[in-house]
Amino acid sequence: MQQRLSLNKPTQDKESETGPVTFLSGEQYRVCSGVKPLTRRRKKRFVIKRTVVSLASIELHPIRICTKNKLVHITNHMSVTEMFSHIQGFLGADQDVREDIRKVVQLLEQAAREILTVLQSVHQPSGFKEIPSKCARARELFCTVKTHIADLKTKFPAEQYYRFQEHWRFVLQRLAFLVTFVVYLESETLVTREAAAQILGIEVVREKGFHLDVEDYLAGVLIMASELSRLAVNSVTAGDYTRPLRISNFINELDSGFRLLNLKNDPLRKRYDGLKYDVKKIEEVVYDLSIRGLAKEAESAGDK
Amino acid sequence: MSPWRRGYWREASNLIKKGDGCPRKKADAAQDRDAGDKPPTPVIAAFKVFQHELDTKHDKYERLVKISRDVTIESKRTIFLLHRVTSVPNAEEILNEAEVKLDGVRQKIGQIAEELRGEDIYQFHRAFTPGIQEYVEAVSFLHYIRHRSLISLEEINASLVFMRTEEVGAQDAAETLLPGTHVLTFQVTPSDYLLGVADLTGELMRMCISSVGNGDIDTPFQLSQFLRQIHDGFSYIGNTGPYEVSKKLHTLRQSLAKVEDACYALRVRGSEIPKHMLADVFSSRTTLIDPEEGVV
Repeated sequence: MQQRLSLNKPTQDKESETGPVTFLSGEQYRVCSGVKPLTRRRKKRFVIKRTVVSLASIELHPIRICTKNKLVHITNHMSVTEMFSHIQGFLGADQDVREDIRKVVQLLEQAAREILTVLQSVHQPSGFKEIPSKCARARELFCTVKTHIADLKTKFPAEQYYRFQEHWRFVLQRLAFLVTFVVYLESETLVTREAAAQILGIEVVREKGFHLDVEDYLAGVLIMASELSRLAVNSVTAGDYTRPLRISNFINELDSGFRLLNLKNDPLRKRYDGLKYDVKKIEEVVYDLSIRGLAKEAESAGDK
Repeated sequence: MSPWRRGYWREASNLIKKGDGCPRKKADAAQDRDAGDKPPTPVIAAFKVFQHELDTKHDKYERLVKISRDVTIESKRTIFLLHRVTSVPNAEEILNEAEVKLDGVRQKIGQIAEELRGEDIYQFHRAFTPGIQEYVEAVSFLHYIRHRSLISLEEINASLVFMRTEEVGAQDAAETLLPGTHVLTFQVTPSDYLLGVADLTGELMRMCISSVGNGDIDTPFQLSQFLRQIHDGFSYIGNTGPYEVSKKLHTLRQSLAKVEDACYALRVRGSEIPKHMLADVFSSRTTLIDPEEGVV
């Protein structure tokens, strides 16, 4: 069924009624009639009260312009479809970008897994002595990470970081954790956000480019806290009785820091809720050592 | 003092080491001592910075949520107003009133644009997307009533341009047209536009049904074709769009089925039944529709 369309000016004011009319291409216009619209059933006639002056600037589908008492029919059934094609263009382009990003993120995840494998071995009794070499190895692997992230930056417009953030958020948190863990193993301090970003080859401030969001950094720190509670347990098993005390002080300081934050009920908050169990676990380890006097023994015997 | 309170184990182990009695009082005192006196370590100082950063971001998010709620409410009111067009003889007056309301909504969107100045809009997108979808629904509804066509995304964005005056000495020379003013735009994203149009179809279905009740027998046929085009458009997009579209597609099919049934009822029964009874026939018919039948 041909949609009956109309030609009209966009504005309704009376002054410009009889003056020349300009149309924008692609726009639908109404022939003003003031009478009830035509229906097939009633077969009434339209009266064209205003004439169209200039059609040159419009691109409309074939028009049958008729004399005064006839109808003006314009086929427009393409326009809604055109709209959707147009939107589909945007969506398709978006999908393509996301596909590219996904490919690079897979490589990043692979690199992160390799670093994690290297670092996991510190939990073994033999692993404790090899901590410095493992950290060095991890640092080497971070260079691969830097390359991949540099590649990732090219896949999307720099100002749309948060549009695609969901794709790399998980792996970036993992990487933040790995950086934090490596720095802790090396120096038993908390890596600053700036230093962490530097190791990964990214910025800290959003305006400067691909950056480490503060929430992702904090998530990485919390993952490390869980790892440290496990390390405390394993270091006692391996015979190192002083490390848990140091870990305990470190974690308690982290806990004080996190207590300063006003968190919303988001994933970061949920992850933070796990921190108290890590604190508790480490306290139990310290308690076990203290009541048995093992910590004092270790202190008097010197570091192993 | 429960074991779940922070620092319990630390205090307990400290006390056992020292061999003191009365763990409760001393533990509390120790806790208070720890909290206040020590100078801020680098870690604590860093977390204070994080606190500030997170607070700023959350505050902005909350402000945007508030504005978005106002936008939603005002847009919904506009839609209710527009539904009255079918039953009131003086449609033009209602349309103008709706236009005024939507101008108010646009001012609110200007506030959103102001908040988002210099920010990455996607960081806060979740905060204002419901409001924007509702606005798209309202403005496309008004456009349909006036022009019987679908408003384009470009047209919507063209009307969301705001002039802002600033004090003399504005730094941002790149954006100024005159000294002291600058232009702020708000761009509706294609996915918000799509979701708004999906909601529009529900309103059009209601308009169809109420127009039958008012004796307007032409609108259902126009609407039927229009809705069919929109439905075809959504089918074309399929699941390449945002995931909410799939849910809305289901509702859209139901709306389309209702409208098509209305047209059928009018065609078959229209000549037999007096106008004022048509609405009753029609409404009893729609309640018989099984939703699952409409799904292709």
